[in-house]
Amino acid sequence: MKQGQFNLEEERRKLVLARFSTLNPESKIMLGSGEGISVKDIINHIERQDEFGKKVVDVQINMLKILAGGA
Amino acid sequence: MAKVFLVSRPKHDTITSYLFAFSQEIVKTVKEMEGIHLTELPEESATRENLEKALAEDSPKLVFLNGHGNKRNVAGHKDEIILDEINIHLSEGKIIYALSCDSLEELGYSKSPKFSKIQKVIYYTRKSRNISIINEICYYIGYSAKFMIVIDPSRTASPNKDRNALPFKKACATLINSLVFGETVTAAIARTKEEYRQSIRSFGTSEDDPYGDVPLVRFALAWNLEFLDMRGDGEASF
Repeated sequence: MKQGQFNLEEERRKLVLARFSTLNPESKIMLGSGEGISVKDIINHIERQDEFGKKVVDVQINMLKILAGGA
Repeated sequence: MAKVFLVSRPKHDTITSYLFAFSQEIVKTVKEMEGIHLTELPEESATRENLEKALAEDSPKLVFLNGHGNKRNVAGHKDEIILDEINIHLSEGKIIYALSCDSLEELGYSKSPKFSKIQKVIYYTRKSRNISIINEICYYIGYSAKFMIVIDPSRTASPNKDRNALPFKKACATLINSLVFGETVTAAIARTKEEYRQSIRSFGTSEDDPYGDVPLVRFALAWNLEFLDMRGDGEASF
């Protein structure tokens, strides 16, 4: 990609990362399988851009659309 | 003849204690209703043997499974696997709502060879036409990813007083209530998804969020909204 070119996926990822970075890194979501996942772990997944991290970005963007009244 | 509603409710750790509390109201409601017989498998009785016996002998039309799970199975008391590909044929013709992780992903698509011949004809006919195959055998509602809950650690002894867990409880109650009162699977899921959206919009303010949990609660609700789905006939009803 050329310098300065807008990358929507990257911007979405940065936005979601910025939002999770404002939270307590030790706060946890409990998973139905029994274990928990911390904000710190979620941020690591987003940074690694693994399958779970990509799902987190998609879900968070959809959540923002709901809050904005667009979904 | 009374319709039969079967519910398994293990309660051996934090998550199952919350799910147990979530299903308390529907169990109470159904016990007071005429025309519906409740078969309940609470706590230690949520075993594979008891589930198989109830599926075979009571012929429930609606089955509500609470507990841990993964792509291939749903668990009961102390995480004993109570439903998997080996015994999924017992769910033939029934509406299964699994409040557990992931199980929709593979178990919901299960094509057990023990399903009846008529149903197998449907399966093979669809296969020969190269149409994507869905499970027409039972009507499976569940989550195709981890089910998420945000809890207040100071409230784990009394899940019903946990304000963080309340919107998750409301969504779960919406789905099972819709099914019990005869809505189609598709309508019940649509109603539940709207409940999730409503909770995302309305949950919490900075004044009543001393631990900063609101953004996490909203995210977890959005996650469950995204991955709640069904396989089978959406027009089926209890």
